[in-house]
Amino acid sequence: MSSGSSKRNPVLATLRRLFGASEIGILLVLVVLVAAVSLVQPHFASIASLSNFGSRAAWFGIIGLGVVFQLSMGEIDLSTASIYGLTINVAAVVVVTLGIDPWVASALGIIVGVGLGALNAVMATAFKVPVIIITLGTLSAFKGLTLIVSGGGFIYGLPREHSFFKLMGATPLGVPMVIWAFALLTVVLSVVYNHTRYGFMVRSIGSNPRAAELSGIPIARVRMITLMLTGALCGISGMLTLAFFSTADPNLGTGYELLAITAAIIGGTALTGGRGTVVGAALGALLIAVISSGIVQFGITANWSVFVTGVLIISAVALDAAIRRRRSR
Amino acid sequence: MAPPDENNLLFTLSGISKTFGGVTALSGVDLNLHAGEVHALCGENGAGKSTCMKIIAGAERPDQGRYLLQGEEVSFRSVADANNRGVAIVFQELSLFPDFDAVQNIFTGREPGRFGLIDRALMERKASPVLELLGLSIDVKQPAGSLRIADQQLIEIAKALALDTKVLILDEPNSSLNVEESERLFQVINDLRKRGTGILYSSHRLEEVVKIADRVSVLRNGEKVAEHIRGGLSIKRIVNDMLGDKADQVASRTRRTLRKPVSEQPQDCLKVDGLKGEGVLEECSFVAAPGEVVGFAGLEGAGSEEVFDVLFGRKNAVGGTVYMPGNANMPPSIRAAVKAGVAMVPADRRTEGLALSQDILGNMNTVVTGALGRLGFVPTKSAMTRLAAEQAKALNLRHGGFENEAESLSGGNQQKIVIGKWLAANPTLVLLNDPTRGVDIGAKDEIYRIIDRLADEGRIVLFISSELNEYSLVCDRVMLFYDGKIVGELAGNVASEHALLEAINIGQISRHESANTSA
Repeated sequence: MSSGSSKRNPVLATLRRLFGASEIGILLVLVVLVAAVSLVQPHFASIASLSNFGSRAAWFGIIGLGVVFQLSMGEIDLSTASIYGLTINVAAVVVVTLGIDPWVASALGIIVGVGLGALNAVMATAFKVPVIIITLGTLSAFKGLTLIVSGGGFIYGLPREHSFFKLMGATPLGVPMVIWAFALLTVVLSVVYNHTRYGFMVRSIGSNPRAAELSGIPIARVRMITLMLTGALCGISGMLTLAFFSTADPNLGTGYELLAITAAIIGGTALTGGRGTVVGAALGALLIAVISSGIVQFGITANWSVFVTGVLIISAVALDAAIRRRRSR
Repeated sequence: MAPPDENNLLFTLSGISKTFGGVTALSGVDLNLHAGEVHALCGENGAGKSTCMKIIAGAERPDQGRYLLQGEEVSFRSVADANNRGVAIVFQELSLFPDFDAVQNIFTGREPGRFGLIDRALMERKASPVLELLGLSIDVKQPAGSLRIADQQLIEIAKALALDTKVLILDEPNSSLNVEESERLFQVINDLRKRGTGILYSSHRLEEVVKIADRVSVLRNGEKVAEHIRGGLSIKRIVNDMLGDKADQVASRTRRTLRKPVSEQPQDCLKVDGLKGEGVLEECSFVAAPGEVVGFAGLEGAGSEEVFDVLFGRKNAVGGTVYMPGNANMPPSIRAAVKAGVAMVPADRRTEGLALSQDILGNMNTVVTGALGRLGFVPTKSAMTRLAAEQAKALNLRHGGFENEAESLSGGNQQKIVIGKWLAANPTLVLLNDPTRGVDIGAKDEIYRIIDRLADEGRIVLFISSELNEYSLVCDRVMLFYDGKIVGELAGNVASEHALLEAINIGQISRHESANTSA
């Protein structure tokens, strides 16, 4: 894939080494968009403003990193936003009503996320149905649990002065903790995806599940790891969200499951499995956030940003299909 | 070069050429077909058979040359266009809608009816004579996907015939049919010939070509190199024409001496005792030693494939015992089988053997890096590349780089990847299910040599083939399956196609052959 053009242009070559051919397009689009918005509204490029849309991207983008693994093995999980919401509310409730230490509560939140992911996997394997079918159900079930746990309303009275909220809600170097976590997880999971045996098996299963099974690859186990990983990411994102807001709301994360999937697909992960990029998903999440924040900067109503996001997804997928068609010639 | 009976000439191609992106697929081919004639097109993979058939069927357009259909020059824009002029093709890959029944499939896209409503009764009335002609005794309301492959194939032909077809093109129609089903297909071809349909036919199975063709044209590297008429047909001549100067290598592979097992110690052998499966397999006992190739011959459903499924942990046994080499137990799952050193090359390479859209590197590493690898980090890309390079060299894999998709390779080279991914894991028991299916003659010969090597390396090799002539080429012993049981055994050097065909159909070895078994 690394063709002659990368040899001629050293800048492009370096970018390619860092991001891989498929992520370069989206990176360029992202840079151009930020630059364009900054021309109109110079303060858009300020750290505060970038941090603002960066955090918004990170909350669902962290989940999107896990979605890359799911899509690559041919599964779709619709319950991620519900898991995210439930972890936040469970952690908040145990702190407020039981007086448990927030650090312990946040660990519990992540464990809940992992457990719910495992539950999805167990049911998909036991009933022999795709994850999308199971999570169509758990999407509602987990959301319902969130409403039950929270009593349907905001949870106030969290100890804002506690070290958990101080540290996890901090903004080292002016950048919120959730963005640091997002960046770190992107790097780590990119290595997991491309360089570990688990990542290799995920891609093999997505390329041809039958051939993978007939080669002795443990599909059920890989599916379990993938859904637990996604659950953990929902929990991590949830705990950082909780630290940021210092309140819990049962409606937090509504729509994140689709934004996370969108981020992965815009980033270049194939819906058909076998092919994906973790870095691309992170860039995809940023792109979605830039568009929704940026459009407001142009004085267009926020409602348009939803529409534009939709148009963008279709363009990205069409472009990807065109590139693949050209490559297969 | 006018043919003697110009009157019943259906089509004439003259000087047809076609290139794809600089690669010449056909060059100056002349071909014609008469009514009531079976004209076979032979050639290795890549010789231009498919392109030629597609041009006649309207799926491709020639760059040069003339195409006359019943004396009139035609230039089809599409397959549908050709269909309207009485030319229909049945592709090798089935293209039925699995959820639709036979009748719906036959009329897909041109359902008869009025006011936008489909007239089911009319469809059934129109379909029934065609189905009858084909001897299809199926429930027409059953979804096509649940029918046997042979019946699905016949529905494809029914689709073509329902169009009032004068020219019927069959591209490898029996590549997935067993002996019995092929016989039925030939019956159908004979009936159609008598009705005056012209049939252009391609097949890898030359014995059948010789049996049913009135005329054989041989293509090599896009050129027509020979045309034989009935009476002048022989497999040997066709093979010589197909291969050109490569013919000598293939001819060298005939009967050979039988191998001696490397070890006959019980703990090294595979011992199957009274095995009964949950499907058709009733009773099966045999021993296979390291260093020998044991063939399983039988009609479809006779039980041989089920033994493979049990040994590979794909299906459960309901009775009997399996002693795996090294005193291992019967594998409860595919994964357990793989870990116990069992390898299986499945019959359907494209859906079960490979991830076609994955690169060669990934496919080669599926077993070692995937199923058997250590936890944690994949060593490095260079380790994966080293493994792939080792196998590619040993198997003489011809490829344009490991980053290419498996799909980009020819059938024979794809099969080498499947074999290579297993050999990298150094298996003790190798199950080969029709390893030469759909590969050209040159690649077949290479695969035979690979099988020789597997045995020489001291592995236990079990072998199933859809082509009976292969058993004597590769096996030391052949187990005969009939009705779910092993009914006999032939030594590899006497397991001729003729002997096997008879034995698997009647369920016993004729006395003449069994006398030679111990030879």
